[in-house]
Amino acid sequence: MKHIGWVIATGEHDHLVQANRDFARDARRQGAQRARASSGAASSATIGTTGREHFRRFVPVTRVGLAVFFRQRPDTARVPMKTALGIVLASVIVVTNAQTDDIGVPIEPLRYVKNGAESDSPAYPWGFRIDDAMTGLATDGQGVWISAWAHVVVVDARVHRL
Amino acid sequence: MIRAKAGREDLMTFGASSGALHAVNFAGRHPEAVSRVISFSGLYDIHRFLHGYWDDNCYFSCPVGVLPQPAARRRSTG
Repeated sequence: MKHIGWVIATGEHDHLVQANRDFARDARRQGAQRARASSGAASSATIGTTGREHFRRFVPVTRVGLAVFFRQRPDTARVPMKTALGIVLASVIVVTNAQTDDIGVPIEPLRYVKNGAESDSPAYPWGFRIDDAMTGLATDGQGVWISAWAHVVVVDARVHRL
Repeated sequence: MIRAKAGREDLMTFGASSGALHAVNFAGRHPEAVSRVISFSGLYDIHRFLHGYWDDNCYFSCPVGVLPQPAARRRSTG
């Protein structure tokens, strides 16, 4: 145990974070002085080595989406505000056109569920109804990835004040 | 074979999730062959998969079982 270099990596978003910390602590007691349950695994993890499904255990999903889309490091992914607004605007245009021309199927009236009760008020703080319009599009299989990325950018721009 | 193909003596194991368990387990069973271990979010206690079964094979495949633990945890994990 002593002459082996141990890296017990985990992430704050992983359901096994406590189990990994416990194991690293036990390994140190056994003599693996360098064993640490590092929560900074995202800084060195890459999708190529861990697989996309594992990657979500280390970093927030929105951040993974940004990183994949903009080919950035997941732990430091950032999008310029102008780019984010441009994508949102483009998505609004796409969704609006899709409602009338591409799909031809009226999207269901917007209903929001808040605290278990339906409401006409949006549950999302930014007030965009684009989110539910996206759901309607997704069921028809059109414009899915564009709307998904717009959602990601909106969320990340708000959370991280880009 | 790995040493011959890599052209170096030191050997490192790496794995994520269940692969992390195997990376750690291999290093624990063959410490003379491994110099470094990198494990990403592994589950090192296999008791939950065995439904009470336990023998020597399980013991040598469970890194947590090999490590010394406080008495309370040792009793709870069998």
